[in-house]
Amino acid sequence: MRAREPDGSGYVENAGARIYYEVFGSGPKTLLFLPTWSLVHSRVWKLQVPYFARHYRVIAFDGRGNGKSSRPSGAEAYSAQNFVDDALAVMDATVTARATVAGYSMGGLHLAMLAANHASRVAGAVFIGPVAPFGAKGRPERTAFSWSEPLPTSEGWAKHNKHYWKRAYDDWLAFFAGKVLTEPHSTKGIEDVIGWGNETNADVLIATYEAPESPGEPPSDLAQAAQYYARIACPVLVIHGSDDEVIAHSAGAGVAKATGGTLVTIAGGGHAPHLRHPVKVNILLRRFMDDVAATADRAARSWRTSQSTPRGLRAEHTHTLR
Amino acid sequence: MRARLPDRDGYAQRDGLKIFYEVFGDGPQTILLLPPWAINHSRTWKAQVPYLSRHFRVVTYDPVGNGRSDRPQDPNQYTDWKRVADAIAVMDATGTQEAVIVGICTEAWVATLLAGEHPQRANGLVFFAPVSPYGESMPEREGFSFDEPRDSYEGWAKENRHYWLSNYKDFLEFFFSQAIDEPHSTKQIEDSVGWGLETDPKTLLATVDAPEYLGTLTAADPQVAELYRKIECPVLVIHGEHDRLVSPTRGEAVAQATGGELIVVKGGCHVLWGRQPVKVNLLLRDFAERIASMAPVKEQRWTTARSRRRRALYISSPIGLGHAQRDIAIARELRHLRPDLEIDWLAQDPVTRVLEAEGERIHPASRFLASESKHIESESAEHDLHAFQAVRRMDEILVNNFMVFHDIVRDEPYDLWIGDEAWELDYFLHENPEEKRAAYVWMTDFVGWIPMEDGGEREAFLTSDYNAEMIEHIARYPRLRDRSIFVGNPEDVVADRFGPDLPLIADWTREHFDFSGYVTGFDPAAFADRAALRAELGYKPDETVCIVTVGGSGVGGHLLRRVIESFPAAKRLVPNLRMIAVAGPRIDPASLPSADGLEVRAYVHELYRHLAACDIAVVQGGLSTTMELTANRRPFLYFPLRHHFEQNFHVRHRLERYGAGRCMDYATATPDDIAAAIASELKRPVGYRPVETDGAARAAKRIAELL
Repeated sequence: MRAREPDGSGYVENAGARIYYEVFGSGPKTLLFLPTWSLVHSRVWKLQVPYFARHYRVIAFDGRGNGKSSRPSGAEAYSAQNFVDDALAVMDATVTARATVAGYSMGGLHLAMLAANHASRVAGAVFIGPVAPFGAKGRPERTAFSWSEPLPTSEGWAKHNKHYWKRAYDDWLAFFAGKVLTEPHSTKGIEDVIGWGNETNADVLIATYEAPESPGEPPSDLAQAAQYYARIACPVLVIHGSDDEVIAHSAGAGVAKATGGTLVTIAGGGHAPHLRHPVKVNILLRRFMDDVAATADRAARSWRTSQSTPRGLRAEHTHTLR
Repeated sequence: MRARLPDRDGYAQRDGLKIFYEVFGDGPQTILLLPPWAINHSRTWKAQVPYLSRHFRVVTYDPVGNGRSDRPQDPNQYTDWKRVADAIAVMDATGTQEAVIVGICTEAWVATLLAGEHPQRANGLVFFAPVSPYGESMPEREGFSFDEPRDSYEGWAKENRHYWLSNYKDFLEFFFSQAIDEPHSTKQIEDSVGWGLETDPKTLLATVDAPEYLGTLTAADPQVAELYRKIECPVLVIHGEHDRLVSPTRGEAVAQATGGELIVVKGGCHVLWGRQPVKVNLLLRDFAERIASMAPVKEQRWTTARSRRRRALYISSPIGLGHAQRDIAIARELRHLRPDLEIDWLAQDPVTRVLEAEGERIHPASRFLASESKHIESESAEHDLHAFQAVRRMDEILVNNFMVFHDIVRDEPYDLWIGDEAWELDYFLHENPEEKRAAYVWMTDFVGWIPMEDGGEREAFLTSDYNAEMIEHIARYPRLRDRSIFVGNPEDVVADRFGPDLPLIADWTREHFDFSGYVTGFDPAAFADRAALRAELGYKPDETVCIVTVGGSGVGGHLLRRVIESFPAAKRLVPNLRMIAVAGPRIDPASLPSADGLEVRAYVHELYRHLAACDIAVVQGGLSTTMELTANRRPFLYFPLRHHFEQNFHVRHRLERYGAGRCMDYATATPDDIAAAIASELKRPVGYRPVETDGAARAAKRIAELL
């Protein structure tokens, strides 16, 4: 059973797909959880949503290709720009002018595009294990294998291959889930990822890999990429595991450096810190939301100076001695 | 001694009056701690300044009417708007464009006026128990005329101009007993009365006779709402729920009127910054950091639980060198039991020298510790150290040093904290129990503050108050200390009571402590071959070697000199006497007199080996040196410092149980007496009770169970 059911849900059409979203909680501040690679859907945030829904308005949606969203065919449907536009469509449909936005893995790339190209919609950006142009391209045991060419072997990262997906999806899925969650005692998280991966199929995932590059994507040239990310003006938090085997830690470090944001390294952590260390990630994200709120309040207050509107009590705490 | 001295000080000018200010620290965000009403001055912030100045730039100044500022007698110099001008003058003189401004009581009103009139100078406001036209007055304070003389004055009737002129001190004592009415607040009350006595009642009357803007306003006046609405910056109001001077309804109303945050401290009195310094420090820091939107550290590291190495933070008291030696021995035993344990030391000079010589890792934040040894030295006179009062007056150093510890542990997880007589750690953990984040071991070699006879009733009351506070702490939070280790045996505990109506120290200690036995820091069996040891150290078999040493702090200089003076007479009585005077790390050997046959050496590493080799020693009354001599069965004379309760009572009790040494009275012992005592102790056969050698192992075993 879910720990928290949505307070509202709906569908919005965009670029040939039907996108399913859920809304939780209420309040002046919204936290938007972006979907990641279509391998999984919005349930990847299941350990965050119930907590944040008690403190903020929370929106999560299923990315095209999985969950309750549609699975359009053809590689063009899965361009990065489409994912970004899906997010904007969901924000519009839920009348969300501005939100703090969290992006995980591939969702981290989409978040960068959102924050750089649609700054007015993004109050703060949280990148978790983000895909980014920076850093090492992957471990040697991974980069040794082509994704698109047929391979003579199917051991290890050779499974991460278009042809192997077509013939042995389940086997690859089990392997890949074990690379997302590499830390000991992660069986439930691995099981969940496999379960979500079984809600889609090899054809969809191949389409995501073969999608054409979007003009708004960050450039792969490092110097230009740094300039791109430097355009992100809102507060930034990056959380990345030191032992991430899917996206190297240096990618997240590069995002933090280029944006001037804060990098929190989870030493000993793998690719999904929000699944494997949910309490810590929730605490970091909560603190970030409060800091973002303080920044926004200040901006709002100095604007309000000329208005002299009375303000109500902002917060009340009681600290009890002994 | 102050825990932190200013980096700059000077005088601002307002209407030809001089206003004394101090500036501490550096950085883009300034915190301006406004002075209180002239009944006190900037030292009221003594528990805040050392901590906040490590993280911000801090400015304080003395109010016109007290401290080092001028004391005009004209009431017109003390109006609300003049006090606003004082603050602006200080900000201008210190080059402070804008600041988080903190105001107490009536001065919160001054801060309100300032922020409304000069919004660009205040980027945040903190009010403690703000006075305001809003909210209710305190009924107990009403109904007494300030101006009419009375036949007698009780309670708040003492707030009266005639009583101030005739019984000023009594008024101060009453006022502060109300202002700081939480239990165990003797030091804060004493400080405040003392600061009140630095001004005089006529000046204080001038401050209250000022034509008062605040006094002319009522809650209904629309300009009051307007004044609060003019405040643009964030506001934090902190108010004690049991404040006897200003009703918490005022704090609530001010928070409402400004849209600010309100923190009500349940159980809290008026002077929260003095009585709850740790919590206030954390609140102020958090607020100022949010104001400054101080970019959080750009890189942070959080280590998953299973990836963390086993780590302990060891806090070793720097008063004397004895703790260091035993702590190193315990650390060594701990590592046998838990080889993967990493130990960081939070320590200061002179302990750091011993640690460094042993290759131990000293936490870099140790450099922020305020010096306890310097303070102890500043408290001592000729062979005299009132240890209890010295620790009492070390209060701001203890707050500062707890905050240094807190800064470390809030960011770095440790499995274990070990405090060897780390008073600040034990006290403030029990006052702020939510700050405990690791297993915690407390170690000490004495229990119970004991009054000196010449301290009279006052001292007897104070020691029992401190003891009662400790007993209440442990009773309320029995699991805060995971281990309480007494370095010794049950019989080493004194026979006294903690105070009238309090338990017997020995009974209570048996109930609440483990006993490790004494921890010498070395195995005397290593010195079984004394002849070989003497040869190694350069002592000839026919020499009678007398070592004179007075411990790790600078207090012992007078004793050292007196014993050196006895050398000629002693040499006449003991012809082959060779006297070696050890100056210790904090006394300059060049400052000591010299004589033929007498050698003076500076710091001696492993002094215990020399003490094991000597024929007789002359020492102060500290525990570790006298017990080293006892363990090595050496004759010795010891001179407890006057007024030092620990040396005179706890140590002496223990030495008498071992049958060790000869207690001397510094006040009456002449150089000839000392010479005679040396000669006679050399002849007395040594029949000491053996000192156990497994103390470190036993202590380590109890500690290792927590890892």
